This record gives sequence, structure tokens and C-alpha cells, in this order.
Amino acid sequence: MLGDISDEEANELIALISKSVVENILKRGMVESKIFSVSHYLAVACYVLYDQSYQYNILKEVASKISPEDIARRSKSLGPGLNQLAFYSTCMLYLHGRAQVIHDNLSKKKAGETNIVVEPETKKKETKFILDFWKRLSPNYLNDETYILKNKKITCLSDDYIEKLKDNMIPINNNKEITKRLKQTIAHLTIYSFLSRAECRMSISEHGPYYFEDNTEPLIFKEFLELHTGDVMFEIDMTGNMPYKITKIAPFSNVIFGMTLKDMNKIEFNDWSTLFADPTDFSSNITSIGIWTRELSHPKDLRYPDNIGKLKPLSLNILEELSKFAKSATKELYIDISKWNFTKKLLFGSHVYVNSLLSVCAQYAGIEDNFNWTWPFDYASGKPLKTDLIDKEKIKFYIDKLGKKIKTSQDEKEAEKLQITALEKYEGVHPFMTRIFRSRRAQKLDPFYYKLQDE
Amino acid sequence: MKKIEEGASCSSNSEVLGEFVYIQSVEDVINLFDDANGKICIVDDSGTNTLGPILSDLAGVLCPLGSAGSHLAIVSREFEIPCIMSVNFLIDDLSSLNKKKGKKVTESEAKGIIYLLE
Repeated sequence: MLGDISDEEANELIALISKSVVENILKRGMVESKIFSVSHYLAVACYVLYDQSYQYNILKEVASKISPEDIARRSKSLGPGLNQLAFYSTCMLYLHGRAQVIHDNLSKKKAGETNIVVEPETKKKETKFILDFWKRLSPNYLNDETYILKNKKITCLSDDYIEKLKDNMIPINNNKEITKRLKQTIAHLTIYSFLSRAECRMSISEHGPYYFEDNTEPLIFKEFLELHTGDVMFEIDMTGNMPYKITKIAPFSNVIFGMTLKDMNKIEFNDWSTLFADPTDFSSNITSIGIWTRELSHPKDLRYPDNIGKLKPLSLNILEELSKFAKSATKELYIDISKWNFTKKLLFGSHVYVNSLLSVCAQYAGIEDNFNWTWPFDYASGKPLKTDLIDKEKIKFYIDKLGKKIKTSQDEKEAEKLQITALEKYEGVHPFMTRIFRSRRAQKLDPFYYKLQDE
Repeated sequence: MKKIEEGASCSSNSEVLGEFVYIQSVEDVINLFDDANGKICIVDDSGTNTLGPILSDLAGVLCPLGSAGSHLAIVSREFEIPCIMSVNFLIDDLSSLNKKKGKKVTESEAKGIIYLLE
């Protein structure tokens, strides 16, 4: 039964993802933004996912209709609703919330509070369920069947799938004008995607490298998903549930760029579906381009391998239309978001992290209408919530608690003071984040996300 | 011509002239929606959100934070806009640069210098 894993296996999985997350965060650093309090909204989202059993309650119902293995297999295409970033986040965000709560409870115990159970048995069971759900995703999505990335590549498409794309590739022949237009379109779409998702990169996905049969040049993909088309299609957040309107809409809800590259020193990916390339500017290394959009169908109707979504090839003429859309939509969004108050911006960011993945999982199961996805915006506008899964008072508690910046105290050791100083400038960071600065040896014995707690 | 800052030059090697604008708020960006051409913006946000709507129209970008791997540097590179990250400002009051003319020079692949022309 899902969730039926031993404490030992649970601790191994926690240690595995802890190590990976620490490496990824240290490489990227903390995300800053003048517009959104990223650390703050992220911490609120993680609290909700764990503390209110929100993720467990939704995925339990999803799992009653569709297995995590099947969700993963149906995503083995270009432009799916879920990808490696989504699968990795299923575990990462939940464990992040768990670590916040465990740290809170350990702190209360240390301060002398009695009757504190650091991790109740019910929460351990929920955690095991989430871990077991997660461990079945990536191995059924990635071609090398691992939980987290091996060899820094993300490949999920079959060789047959790749070969069928060959005829759509357009040779570049060192045409700098084409690569310039491509770069600018990608840049405009990147800016739009980050703003429309509160600095979150969930609607951008990069993966590869793949190879055509008779070609040694690596092929990589860059996907932009959830572009605003004004239709409520098979993406929960389209129009109806987002707290903004965009009048100049995108020609398609998603666009996928494929590029073959020559003479690259490095092509690597991390579990956040981010490409690290050398040279960083590889525009003069591009030898051919493919552009597609995936025609949407309801995820509950997808079947691997025969029905995983139809691709429509696009011509280079689409680049200008996409740039125009992204540029004007960015301006509209910017003006709109600039008028939002703190709470609305915070809950918007939290919504992206809390609901993006779970709503698509619910769609795969065909049960998205069983849940209310607008509660973050209802909360922000002071309306009553239409879901029993969320305790409104707890949201306020998380926001207020995290609103206080962490500060050093005299009791702390010098090393701890340095760690806190490094995080002090970020609003809304949970103090457990200082665990990221511990030595590798310490992290090996006591993972970032805490082992299952014995009382 | 007075040197006022230097940092890691992360994109275009071109020399550029422009008018400084120190971005302190979202309203500062909105005010430049139709007037971003020829501006060199100073911003202390290494992400793309703050300058997003106007980035492609700017003459240059300066940021005291981040590195060549920051989103702001990456996207500036895509637009072929000169961008200097980890800028070490040699003056205290950045708002004193508003509306003044400056020049960005690339000394090497990893070093850009900004001069005040007035």
C-alpha cells in the first residue's frame, strides 16, 4: 500500500533529497525580488503543505484514482503539465514545511515548553506516504529511472519520439539574425514567465541532452508553459483562478524550443530543470532550431505511450508574435501587480507553490473539481474560504511569524551567528535554513530536512 | 570624465553611452515604460522582475549584487545589453546620478567600468 515504507527507508530518502537540495540552493543562492517577498511566501506555502496536511489530503485522493507511476509516464512528452522540477518539488516543498515545523517544536522544547510532540505518529505516516508517492515519480519519468538526477542530465523522451521531431528542425547555417530573434523571444518569454509566477520558474522547463540517430550534436529543449490565452483550458490557473487579467493574449498556451548545438564544453541540468551551459551564451553554437506547441487535451485522457499529446510544429514567424505577446503582457502584469498590497502578493506566490503541482495532479486523476483552488486569493481579499482543507487562522500565524527577521542572540555560537547574519537580510526566511551552512559531516549524520523524530 | 564604479561585465562587450536612472521602486520602472531608450539603470535586484518590462529597451544595466549567473545577467545577455554585476560603487549617493550622462567600457571579459561624463 502507498506509504508502507520502513522508518529506515524513509530516513534514506530524506537524506537523499536533503543532500541534493543543499547542493542546489548553495549553487543558486537565495532568490531575491523587489516585487515579491520570495522567501516569505515560499515558507508560508511550505507550512501549508505540511502543517495543514494539505498535500497529503489531496495526493491521497489523487492516488485513489491514478498511481504516481502512471502520472509520471503520461508526462514523458514535450510540454506536459508535470516535469522533473514538479516531481522533485513534490518532495522538496513538503519536507521543507516539515523541517520548519520540527524546528519550531524543537525550539519550544528547548525553551522549556512541556507536552510538545516534535513529530506525531500521524505526521510520520503522512510523511511516509509523500516519500513513497515521490519515489515512484522520477524513476517512471526519467529514462535512467533514478529518483534524482544522475550525471546531470534530464532525459525523459524515447528515441522514437525524438526521431519523429527531426523533420521539424530548421537549419540555422550561421544565420545570426535568426539566433538573435530566437534569443530575444526566449528572453521576453522568460521575463513574462517569472513575473506571471511571482519569480517561480515552474512554467519554464529545460531538459536534455538528446541525440538524433545520425547526429552527434546534442539536442536540448526549453519549454514555456501556461502562457495566458484567456481560455480556461486544462490548466487550473488559466484566467479563471488567477488574480490578474491580460488583454493581449498569447497565440498558444505553450511553446517548446529545441536546439541542436555544436562545440559545447558543458551541457548540464539540475533537478530544478535549469540548464548550465558552457559557453553560457551559446547562440553561435546553435545549428538547428525546432519550435512546437503541444495541443492540450485533458490530462486524465492521456495514455502512455500512444496518447501523450499531439505536437504542432511552428515556423520562425511565430517568434515575433511571441515576443510581442510577452512584452505587452509583462507590462500589463507589472502595472496590475504594482497595485497589489503585501498580502495579495504574498498569497499569490504561495498559491503558485502550493497549488500549481497539486492542481495538475488532481487533473491527471480527473478530480480537480473536488477541490477549491482559489482560497489564497479569497484569503487575501478577506473573503470566507470555500475549503475545509485550510485553517485561515494558521495562515495568519505563518505570515506573522515569518514576518519577523531572524536575529542572533548572545547564546549562539560564533558559527551560528555567521549563518544567521548571512540570512538576516532576507525577509521571511525560516531559522531552520541555517542548517544549510553546516559541515558535510554534520549533514550526513543529521540531514537538512531532519530524520524521522523519536520522542 | 570620472570613474564611478566597476564590476563584473557579464554581457555585451560594447561601449555604451546613456543617462543614469537609479531604480528604487516599481513606480520608477513604470515611469520609464515609454522612455527607457538610452537609459543605464542601476538596480539592486539581481532577478528580472524589477526591470522586466523595460529591460530590452535599456542602454545598460548596473547591479551591486549577483554574478554572471544571476537571472538579470543571463537575460541581459540574451538582449545583448551591457550589464555589470557585483558593481562596486565609488560614490555613496546613487540617486545623485539620476539624469547624468555616463559611459560603460569593457576592460576585459570579466571587468566593466562606468564613467560619469559630467
